[in-house]
Amino acid sequence: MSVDTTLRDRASEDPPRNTAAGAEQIPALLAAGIGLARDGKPAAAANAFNQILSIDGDNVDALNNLGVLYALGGKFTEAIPCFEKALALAPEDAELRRNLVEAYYYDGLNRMDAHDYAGALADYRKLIGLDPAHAGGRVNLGDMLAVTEVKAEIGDFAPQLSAASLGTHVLVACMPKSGSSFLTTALRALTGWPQNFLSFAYRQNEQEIYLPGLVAMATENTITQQHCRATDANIQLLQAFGIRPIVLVRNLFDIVVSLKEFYDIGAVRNTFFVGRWERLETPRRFDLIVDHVVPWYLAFFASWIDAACADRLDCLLVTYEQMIADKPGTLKAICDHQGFDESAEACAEAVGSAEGDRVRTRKNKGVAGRGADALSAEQKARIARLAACYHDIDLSPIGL
Amino acid sequence: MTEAAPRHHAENAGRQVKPDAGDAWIQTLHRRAYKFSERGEFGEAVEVYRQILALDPDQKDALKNLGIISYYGGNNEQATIFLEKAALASPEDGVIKDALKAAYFACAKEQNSNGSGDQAIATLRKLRRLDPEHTGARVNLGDLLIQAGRAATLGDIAPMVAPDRIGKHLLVACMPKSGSTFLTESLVKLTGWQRCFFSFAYRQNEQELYLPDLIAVAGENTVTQQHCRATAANIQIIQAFGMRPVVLVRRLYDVVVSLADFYDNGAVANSFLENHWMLLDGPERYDAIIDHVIPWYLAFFASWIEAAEADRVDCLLLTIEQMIADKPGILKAICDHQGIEASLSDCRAAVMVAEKDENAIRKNKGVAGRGDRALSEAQKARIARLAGYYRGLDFSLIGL
Repeated sequence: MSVDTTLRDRASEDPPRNTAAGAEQIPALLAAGIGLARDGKPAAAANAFNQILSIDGDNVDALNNLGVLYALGGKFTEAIPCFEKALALAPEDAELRRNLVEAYYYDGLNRMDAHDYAGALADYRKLIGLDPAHAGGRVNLGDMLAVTEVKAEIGDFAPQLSAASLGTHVLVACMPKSGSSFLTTALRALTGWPQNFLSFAYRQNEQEIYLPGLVAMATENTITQQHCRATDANIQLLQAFGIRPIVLVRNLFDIVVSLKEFYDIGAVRNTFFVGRWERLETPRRFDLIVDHVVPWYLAFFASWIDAACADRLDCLLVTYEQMIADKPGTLKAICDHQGFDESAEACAEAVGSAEGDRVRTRKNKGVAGRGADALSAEQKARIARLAACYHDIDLSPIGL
Repeated sequence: MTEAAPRHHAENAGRQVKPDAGDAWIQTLHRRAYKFSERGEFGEAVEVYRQILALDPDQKDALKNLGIISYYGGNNEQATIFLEKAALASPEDGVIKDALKAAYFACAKEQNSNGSGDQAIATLRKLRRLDPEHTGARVNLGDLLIQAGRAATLGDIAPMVAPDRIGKHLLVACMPKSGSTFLTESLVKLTGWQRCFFSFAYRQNEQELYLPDLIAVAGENTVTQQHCRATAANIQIIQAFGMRPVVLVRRLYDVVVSLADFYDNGAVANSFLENHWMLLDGPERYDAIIDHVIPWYLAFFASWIEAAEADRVDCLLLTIEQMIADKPGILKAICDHQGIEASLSDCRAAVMVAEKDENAIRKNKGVAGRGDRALSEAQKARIARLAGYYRGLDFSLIGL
């Protein structure tokens, strides 16, 4: 904001039909106030604008200009009601909207500095309601939600949507090589819902949830398979869109073996080790996965467990081993968790359909326990060591 | 190719169109063709539509319906030809657009399967122009460009942005705790450009480049500090927007110590170790960083080195050690690399202003060599082991 660019005198362009007593003084007061502000006399300028408001409390120019003076003086809390009232009177005015957005933003920053996180959260919620694409507002809103531990709502990310309009989104948040393609295919066969891809890109990109992808199919029912950890931002998106994730995990020793085979057939192109993998012998390939990839898996598991334990999300934890032991039963458990009314027979049929689809399910061996034989004692010990910093979590679902 | 075409595009593609008002004989032919289609006699329907086109080559409904019939008959390239003509005749027709999107996607998939990668790229580019939000086009075009070894253009990544309206975007791709905040502030003070943030969220999220935020400020000059690796997708965005990143690194032993201090001061909230950090003692904290965070740092370094060596991006690689030794000189080197006109005294002045701004610089100790003293030999050996998988890469810039 600056004095030169933000103070306005729209009345001179489009004189209002104001019949209040003293209304004839308004144009002169407006011009005087603007002149005083430009001369570096904000108090006198504010006086002039307040005089206008005593004549006409709904004068948009005076309200805006008073707000601008407050904002330029760093008094964003005082500026906000001026801009809010002006915008309520002129809701299509883009300049007023921008001024109010900026005031919310900076007021929010001040509140954050003063540790008034609830107040900052309120500011950023209003900001996003006016400008959902505001990057700083989005980031700060997310931070404030995390700090205050308030659950996100749809208006925090997509104020143009209502909770009632949202479709049902089944998210399988899954470890790579945990049978997730099979499970997703089975869920699609069962529900008939389309698959939605909620990552901006794949290969080496982390599969953080991509908001535009979620918004694009917000009102439809979808199934998504995503290797995403329970970051604060991902959790907030899931809260906002009413998503209750299925978290699919697998024994880590088996993961190492399965992932190594997956890399061997070309998936290493999705890592930073292309061009080096081929030069490693099998034991070193296991070592590389243990050293560079297993930390991700541990963070994945710990993050979802932490999110569920803190009641931030209603997750259903499913293990690969449970799933291969009873696929229809696992599908039924998922349906019960998600609130779908599907019979055991329908689940069995969906499993049959998925099992016949070898392209989509990308099945490797489908066997549990290979890792215990394939990994050396030293490799297993290194995995145990990596897991040691999460010693307050029950790691038995992933074989530790 | 990833099967990421939203279902509704293909569904809309299936609706053939009944004839609207127009030449009587053409209407008669339309009704005849429609009846053939309803009976599943598509060969006969095609013949009649061809008769219509012989009379009126731009008859949009005939073109549309021929396109739809071709699509469902698996003649994808033929479908695109008819539907492109129909779209020219009727650019606002939503059914034609949806059908054309589906046809483009199917055609590209077919071309790729047949080994015609260049044709698939061309087809996906058309789809991107038609629907910049199409997930499948975005993801698959990115993949095909990588496979073909071709750089992404602005039209590939942001077809809605005019090439002559791109501002300058100075990206500092940096390791955390590498003095990047200081460097970025200096650059902002030197250039007067807007400081922007191109990550959807922070905290535990990976800081992949978030395209919508970049598009929002595409026409402005910006400075960005981002802890992003040179993933395929990030590189493509950088190529598309003409960025030449400054890559800032630091000796890894010093990173471990600095990061541990940073986590101790509360930044552990930005990691997955937040709930577990306080249970770790001093040496265990270094161990946790080595085991769970250093792999990221190595991937960061390796990815940028390899991107530069493969000539995918024009990077300027800098170390904090170089920067500490000669801040104005480094700033000048950056300006020269970026084509920014600035004298050494301008750079000196910017450094002085940035150094006074304590909020901006988040300086910890600013000293090189602490890690050598603080880490044990076993800890250093583990770092060396992690780096060993990147055989052939020179890690001397990061102290290995």
